[in-house]
Amino acid sequence: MLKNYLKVALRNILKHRLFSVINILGLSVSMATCLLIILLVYSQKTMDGFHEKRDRIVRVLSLEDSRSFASTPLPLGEMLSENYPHLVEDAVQIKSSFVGGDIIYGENRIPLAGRYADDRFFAVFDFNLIAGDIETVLKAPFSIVLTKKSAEKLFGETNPIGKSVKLNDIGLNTMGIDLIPTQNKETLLGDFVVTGVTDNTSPSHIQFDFLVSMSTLPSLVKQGKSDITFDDWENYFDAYLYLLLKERVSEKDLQPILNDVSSTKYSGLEEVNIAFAVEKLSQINLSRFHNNDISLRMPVEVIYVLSFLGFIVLFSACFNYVNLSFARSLTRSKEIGVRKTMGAARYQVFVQFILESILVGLLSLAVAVGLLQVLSRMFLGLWMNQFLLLDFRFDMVLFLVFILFSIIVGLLAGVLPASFLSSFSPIKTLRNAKGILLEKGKGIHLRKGLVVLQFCASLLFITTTLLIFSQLNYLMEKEYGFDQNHIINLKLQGVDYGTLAGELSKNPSIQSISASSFVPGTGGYSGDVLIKNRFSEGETDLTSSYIAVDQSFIPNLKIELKAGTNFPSQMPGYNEEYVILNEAAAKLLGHNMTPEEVVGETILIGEDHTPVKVIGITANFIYDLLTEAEPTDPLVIRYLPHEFAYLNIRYAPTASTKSIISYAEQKWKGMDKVHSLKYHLYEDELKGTNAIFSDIIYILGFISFLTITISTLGLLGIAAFTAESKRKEISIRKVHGAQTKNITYLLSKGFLPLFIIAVLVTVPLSYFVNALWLEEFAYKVNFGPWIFIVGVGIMFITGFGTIVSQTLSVANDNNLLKRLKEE
Amino acid sequence: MLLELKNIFKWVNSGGQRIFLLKDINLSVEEGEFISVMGPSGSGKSTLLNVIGMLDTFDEGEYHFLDESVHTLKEKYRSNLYKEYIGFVFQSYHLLDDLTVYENLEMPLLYKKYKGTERKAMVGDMLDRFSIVGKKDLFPAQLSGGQQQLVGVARALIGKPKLILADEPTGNLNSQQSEEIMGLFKRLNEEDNVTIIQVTHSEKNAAYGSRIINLLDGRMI
Repeated sequence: MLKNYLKVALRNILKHRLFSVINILGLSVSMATCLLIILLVYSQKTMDGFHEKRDRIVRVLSLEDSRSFASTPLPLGEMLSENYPHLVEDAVQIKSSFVGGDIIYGENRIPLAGRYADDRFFAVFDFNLIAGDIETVLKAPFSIVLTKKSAEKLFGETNPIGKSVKLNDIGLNTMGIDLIPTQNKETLLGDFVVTGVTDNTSPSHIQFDFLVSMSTLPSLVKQGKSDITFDDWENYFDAYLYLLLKERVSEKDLQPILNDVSSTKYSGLEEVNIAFAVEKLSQINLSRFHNNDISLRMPVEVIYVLSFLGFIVLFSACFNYVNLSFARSLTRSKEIGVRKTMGAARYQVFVQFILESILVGLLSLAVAVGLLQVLSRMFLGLWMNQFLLLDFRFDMVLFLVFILFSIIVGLLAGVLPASFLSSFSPIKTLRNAKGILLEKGKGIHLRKGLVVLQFCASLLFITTTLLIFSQLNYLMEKEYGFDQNHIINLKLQGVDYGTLAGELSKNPSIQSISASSFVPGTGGYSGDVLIKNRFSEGETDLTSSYIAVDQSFIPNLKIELKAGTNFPSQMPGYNEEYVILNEAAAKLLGHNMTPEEVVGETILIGEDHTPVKVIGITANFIYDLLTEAEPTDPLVIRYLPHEFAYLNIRYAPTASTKSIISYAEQKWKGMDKVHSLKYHLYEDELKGTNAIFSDIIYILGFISFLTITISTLGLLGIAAFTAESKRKEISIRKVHGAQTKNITYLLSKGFLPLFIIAVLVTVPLSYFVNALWLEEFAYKVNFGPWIFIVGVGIMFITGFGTIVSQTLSVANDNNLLKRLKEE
Repeated sequence: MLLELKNIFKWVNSGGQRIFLLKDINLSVEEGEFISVMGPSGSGKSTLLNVIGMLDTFDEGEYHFLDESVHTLKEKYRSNLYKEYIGFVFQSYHLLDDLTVYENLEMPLLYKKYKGTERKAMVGDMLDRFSIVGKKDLFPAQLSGGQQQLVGVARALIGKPKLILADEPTGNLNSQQSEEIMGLFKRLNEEDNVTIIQVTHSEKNAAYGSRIINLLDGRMI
């Protein structure tokens, strides 16, 4: 029976090639998109799957207001494991900030980034410890465990165990991204003994080049090299806490205890109120966004959005299948009639058609898996994914999931047509040689509805993509309020800026050099500072961002001074005496004063209300990411040499960028032999900050391309069958003198109302949805009607192009008379 | 008695008027009969055949098939009944284009839960009997009309029905092919005692049967 069904299905697929190609093509491209999402979810789900006790490991989260943090107060771990041994078998804490810098062994000096972890680390997690004892590797102060890779870099073939290395902290992080604030200072932490080597190549959300024992920290505090406190319940940024629960204890059993802890510790406090929650290890990589997370990952919200887009495309492809199957019911009705007269029950016919659609689903899967290879490579190439831990591996389970998925898709696509087709009564199908008439019955409304839906989805995606594209263009061309051309920003990485600037300024092509704590407009950030008017007793402090710069910064970046002066060339070394404000900050402070009047005023800044004199007011310039920035963001420009982290080099427009870089490279090597020169062309860097938009445009553009392609394919199919089923009508009309254009009009006009309905529904919807996100931007493009005009235009041309091409082929058929005779 | 129709009426409502398709049909058929139904176009021949074949319903009257009262049966039992006892032959053969001759013959058996080996034997037997073994892997489009109808008859017979209903079985055939098919029906009727009811326009074909029923405007005359 099954064999017979499959045989018939296969012959049908081969016989009606246009129909099959449209279905398989549409289904496979949309399935490939969904497979990518499955792959993504699966890879996130299986990450950290190598820990034997994974089902019992949970991470504790801190919740404050509506925000959740992946980190917890440091004393929480010990408190839980000591007081609740019946629930908590073991606990491990990892310090939240990196310990990063250079590890020095003899002549070898390697930049590596690691973490402080306590001695239970290898007992709870199953990172493979190649050398060393699980219980003791991280016990003693000044113990260090290297990864296999780090050990090879540092020691080569030599056995590293028992060797002593020096660790120099300069705030490197393993993620290698610049968004995390960096300080330009070095701390020699001391000598560490290598106690173990681990192979951490299994995919995990905990990333490190080495681990240092947590017990080192008290010694560092004593030496004044760290200011961490171990009993501070109000600071929930310091540590990640992982608990190993006892057998048969669930995270729900833990929750009341955490609630107790929270209420005893925080009920007396007014300012801090933290609640705790737990999340299973297997959920960590698939949960919603947490602040201060241990590693960057794709928040589950993004996966939801991607899945939503994937399913729209998939449904669109299934619509095609439904649509075309209904259209083809004409040709299948005789078969159904015969099978039923020969004794087939309805369910048997139903099963036959379902099997056929499942077969189409499986064939599409084969194509989709091929497409997935290309698609996943494209996806991994997206800008955002360089920061994420993504590890696509194929295995048997994944393969089965894929097959199951394609069967579900087949069912989804096939269930409506199958139940429709199997409902045909044999007498009706056999009586009319023409079978069930296309334009009659319940099918037609459904099919029209589906066509409208496809039109809607396409139009929504086209307009959204167009809008995002024009917003990106707008941001790319936006004036920042400073001159970013011909500037190279160079990361100091601990090198003394005065010396380096002195060396660099010897090059005649370099016009001026300045220093800053972050590079405006690139997402860097120095922090906030409290500011206050001197005579505003009792008023609350105001908050403003600040940037630390030297005297050359304002002229170097050509920032406009509205009033007052720049920092004098001789600045007092120690105490901060002068500040410059931007107009927004002046306004924030000045209430009713004009910016000019603020100059010369003394204001109080910082927690200890240091009095400083305002010597200048600059025009507002965009210092935050353009996507985040508001025109009213206040900024305090301060002279704080110890915070300088970047050099801004302005070179002559006539000089070649390459020669400046190689010159800088050469000077750099003379001063820092370990770290390579890190630099960006300012102009490119600013453009790069909008890279997330390019990602969104790639993704949405791809999805709109798919929806348009799929709906065009669907239209093609429908138009072909409409034309086919009206051959007789066309012949009769032609015999009576109708011309090609009349016929084309006749066949196309049915789609026009559908198109108009889709436009009427989608334009307001798209306007509403897009205005919603566009509102989030202070700097935004004008959302005019042209986007809809272009969008509708594209739809109209592709849609009607398809229909007309099909109808023309029928209308121009000169054998019509002959066909009529055959009828 | 194989089947009996008592006061069968069938009508459709069109424009406020009731149009009768079948009017007061009384007919009893004994096993082994060969009946020809004749009449002009629109006289209700095919409708009568479909009612007998249980593919179509009627509005009034009683229908007994073997010991069952068809008019009281539910759809499901009715289809089980015709599945088991009735074979259909159509004017335009209605072979499935995507199936070979062999598969077309096998198809009704699939719905009757025969085992694979049984099916093989039954199809092989039928191919032998109709001397179409050499054509078993051909598709209907590769056969002449007469050969297609031969397969159609073989398919109707394969489930060993008591009754064969043939709606103008030779309507699309030339005279030589027609004679072959009619000869086949005659043999089936005489040698295998299969009851046959055929609809035909041709006096010549009607003569093969043992009884002729004439219809006009839905009435037997």
